[in-house]
Amino acid sequence: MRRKHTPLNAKSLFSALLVLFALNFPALAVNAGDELPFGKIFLGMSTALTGPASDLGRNMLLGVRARLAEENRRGGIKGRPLHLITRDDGYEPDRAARNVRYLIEIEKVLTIIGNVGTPTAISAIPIINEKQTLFFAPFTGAGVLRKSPPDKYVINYRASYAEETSAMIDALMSSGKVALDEIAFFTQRDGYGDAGYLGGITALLKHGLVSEALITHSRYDRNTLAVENSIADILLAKPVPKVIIMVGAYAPSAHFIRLAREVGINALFLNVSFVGSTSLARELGSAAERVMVTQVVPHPDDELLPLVRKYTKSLFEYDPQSKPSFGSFEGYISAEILMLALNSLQSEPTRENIVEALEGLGRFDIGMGEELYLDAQNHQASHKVWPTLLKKGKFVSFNWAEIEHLLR
Amino acid sequence: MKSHKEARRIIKMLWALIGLTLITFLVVNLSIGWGIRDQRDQYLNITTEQNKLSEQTAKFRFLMGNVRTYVFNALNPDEVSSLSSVSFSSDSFVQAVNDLPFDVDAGDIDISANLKRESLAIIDLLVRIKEWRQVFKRVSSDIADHKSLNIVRSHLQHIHEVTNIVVGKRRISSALKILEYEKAGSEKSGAIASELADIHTEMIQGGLDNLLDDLHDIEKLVELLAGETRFDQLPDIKDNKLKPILDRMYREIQTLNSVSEEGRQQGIEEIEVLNVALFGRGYKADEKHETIYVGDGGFYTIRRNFLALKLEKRDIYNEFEETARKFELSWTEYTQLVQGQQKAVTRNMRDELQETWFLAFLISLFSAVIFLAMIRYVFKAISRQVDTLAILKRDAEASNKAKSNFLASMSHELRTPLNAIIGFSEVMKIKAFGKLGNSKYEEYADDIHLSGKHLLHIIDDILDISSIEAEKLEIHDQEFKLSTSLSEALQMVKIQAADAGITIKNEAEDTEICLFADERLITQIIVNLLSNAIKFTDENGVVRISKKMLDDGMLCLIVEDTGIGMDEEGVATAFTPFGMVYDAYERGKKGTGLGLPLSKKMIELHGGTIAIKSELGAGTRVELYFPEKRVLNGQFLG
Repeated sequence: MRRKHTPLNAKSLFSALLVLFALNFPALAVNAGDELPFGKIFLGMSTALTGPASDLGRNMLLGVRARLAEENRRGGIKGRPLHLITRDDGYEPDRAARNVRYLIEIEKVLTIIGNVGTPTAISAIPIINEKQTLFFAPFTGAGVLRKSPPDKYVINYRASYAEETSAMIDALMSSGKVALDEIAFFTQRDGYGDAGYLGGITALLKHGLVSEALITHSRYDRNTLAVENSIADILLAKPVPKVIIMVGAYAPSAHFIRLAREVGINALFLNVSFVGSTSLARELGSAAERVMVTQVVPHPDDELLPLVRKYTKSLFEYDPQSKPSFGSFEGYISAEILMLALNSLQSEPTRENIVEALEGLGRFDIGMGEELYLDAQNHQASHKVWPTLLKKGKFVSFNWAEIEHLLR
Repeated sequence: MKSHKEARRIIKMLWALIGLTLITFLVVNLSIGWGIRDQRDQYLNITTEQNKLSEQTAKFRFLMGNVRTYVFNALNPDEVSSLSSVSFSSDSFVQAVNDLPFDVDAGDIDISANLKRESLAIIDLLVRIKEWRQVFKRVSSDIADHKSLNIVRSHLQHIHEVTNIVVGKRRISSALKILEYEKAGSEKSGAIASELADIHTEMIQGGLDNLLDDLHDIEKLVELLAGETRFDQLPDIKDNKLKPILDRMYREIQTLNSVSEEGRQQGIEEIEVLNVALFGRGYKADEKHETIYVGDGGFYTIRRNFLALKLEKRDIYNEFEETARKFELSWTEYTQLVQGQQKAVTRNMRDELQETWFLAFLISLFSAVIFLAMIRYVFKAISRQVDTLAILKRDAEASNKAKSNFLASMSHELRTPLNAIIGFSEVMKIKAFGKLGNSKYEEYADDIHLSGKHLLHIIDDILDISSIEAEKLEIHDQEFKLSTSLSEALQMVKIQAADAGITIKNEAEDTEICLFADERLITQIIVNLLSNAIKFTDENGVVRISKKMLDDGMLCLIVEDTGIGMDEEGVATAFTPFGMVYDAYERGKKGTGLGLPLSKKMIELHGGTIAIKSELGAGTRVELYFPEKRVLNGQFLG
């Protein structure tokens, strides 16, 4: 009797173990192929939670988390809860590359979402293409993520830096109060700064600029506050710049603005969105004037927009202590679009069909006052730029038409 | 008597044979049985031991496999992220080693000691590997994450930044002066121009460019160090390259123009921090020997430790391989030893089995020899007996024949003179040649004639019986009437019966039955029977002759008398030649004792039988049976 039973028991025990393994240790069970785990839907985020861009990363994370929590409260995607796995890259490209590989290969995430920064994105792209995994809504406007035709696995939400600087220049030119060579650039010495600068130059050339050499361009080193040389460059520029377009991080930018005002530079400062409005406003204090930041999302205080109301509610439910910000709103919008695509899927989400689902969204509206568009040829949902102006230590909505009042 | 003794001996021998066979069978079976039982026990023991050994060997192999995997994984942390994925610990190895059989029998103390020593060495190594791994993990994670390297980098960047700020500040004041100069009127411009010239001179003179160059060199060297994989190359980078530049930078900062005392102090502090980041806390520069002694932590130290640990890993691995090889060798020796012992036992078993077989064979052989000897003896005895019997038979036959021959010839020789006696006494009786002188002579002549006839009668009988026994008597078969034969016989005994005063009743006289036989012999048989009946019947007795036909066609002729009769023994004696039941002479009867035997032989010659039923004092009844083929039932054939 015992002999007869033993193999039977061993067999059933084995299959029971197998089932247990499959249920509890997804990473082990799917080791053989690139199949995604059952149960939860895993999303991955490698972002800057420490270092000079940590405010951006934290806000992005907050926004995405708030939206995922909202979805999970509703029962998840077809009953499957969403789970975000976050790794800090400190705005360092090599750490970002390692994190992305880890998230894709070990954690088997469905997509990467909410990367912060251009250099980190640049180091992640090859891995993304190699592993054929979606790199969704990175917090950067760099051209490297906006190729034509687009990289299949890179889909953006936000407008590009070129679109931001181009919007600035278009507005400046239409005011008629600024000459082409009265516009100067202050940029970070890396891919981010270059992207913004090139976007601006392209727009200027379109408006009739003869030579790039006429434009004053000063730079600073990433992760330093050494902006003195740039100040000196601006001081000696001829003609004296009326507008300085800034493509930098908030700390050196704030330092630059303060120092410039100290030495009597009277220009209008125009920042691109990546500077981080909240942090910049905090650094500058309430005294600073005529500092603008272009945004790629509507103002999060604009309660007229349904999405803003939804966002505010969601954020409060996720963390009552938190305050709305442009950064977390962008994170929220990114996650909103992803949820839209996930919910449109009829079958099990895979790394392939999530891309197709996003591309299949076409023209869609999520209640932010602007229609969005995605298809196989257009991997950037929004092209809109919203200008904001620093007023009493806070960035408020602004109308480009009024820019002439800011020029002296 | 001799032959009886012999037969008993033969029987005894046969019993002994049976006993010997049984005993041999038992002894052989028992000895083989014991041998097999013993073998089986030993075989079981050996099998158990062999199983145990192979189980131990399997355990050992599994253990060593685990150890190797553990060692490989522990020494290659890159391949395995954490050791928990290897279900093995040095504790379990210690446990497993303790379970190994070191209590080998005497004579192999060396192997036991070796196994113990080598297992301890492996345990030591495992502990060392664990420690190595802990250190290496710390160092390699630092290397992989560029932790220390990034600290150095950030310090360098900071120095850069500070330098830039210093330069930038000068440039700002210079630019402001230029703007001031441009705006100022001609009376002030001269003074401002000379100030500008001073600032410019200062900028050109200062060692700032050298400092920036050195900073670039250090950055390059740090990256070089980060990529260096040869342990021996590190001192060159440290003492030949980094140290001179750092010393130079130190001097350059001290001699830097237009920098405030505070700024200079700050610069020196930055250099010091950079040194610590590179060479660790508590590093020491030995100016005399142109070298730097590294302290605790620091990128260089980490890098050096990393490469040193990699070298150590190779050593540890080699050492482990060597020890493991020795351990496995000792194990092989141990298993060979145990197997050798088992083989010896097996060989022993085989020898024992052979001994048992041999013993059984010997016993069987011995028994077979004895068996054959006894058989031979028995056969000899039997054949001797058979020979004796044959001789006896031959002798008996020969003597019987001699007797018959003797009687036949004797009778013949006796008859011739007897005929003379009878003939002449007859002549005398009938007084053919005249009267005898005296009446006494007449009487004597009668007696002579009577006695002669009696003697002749006896001789005839003897002659008949002899010729029958000598198988010389021939029967002349012919058909004749039984009544004829009966009346002839009655005629012959009539006088005798009359003399004895006995009535003969012939109740078979009227019969028409014919017989196919020798008439003379049949008549003689009847005469003999009648004569006997008359002889043993007293005066006034009756002798009756009767016949009856039996169902199966046989004829029974019965002669009954009312005489003295015989008992059973008497009947048997009556058929024996010369066997007389009563002393005939004593009773005054005449007879030779040949009548009945002769009659028996004669009727038997015809295929018939004779039977006597008699009782003492109640008479005798003799039955003659003629076989069917001889009875013709009143018809003459042919």
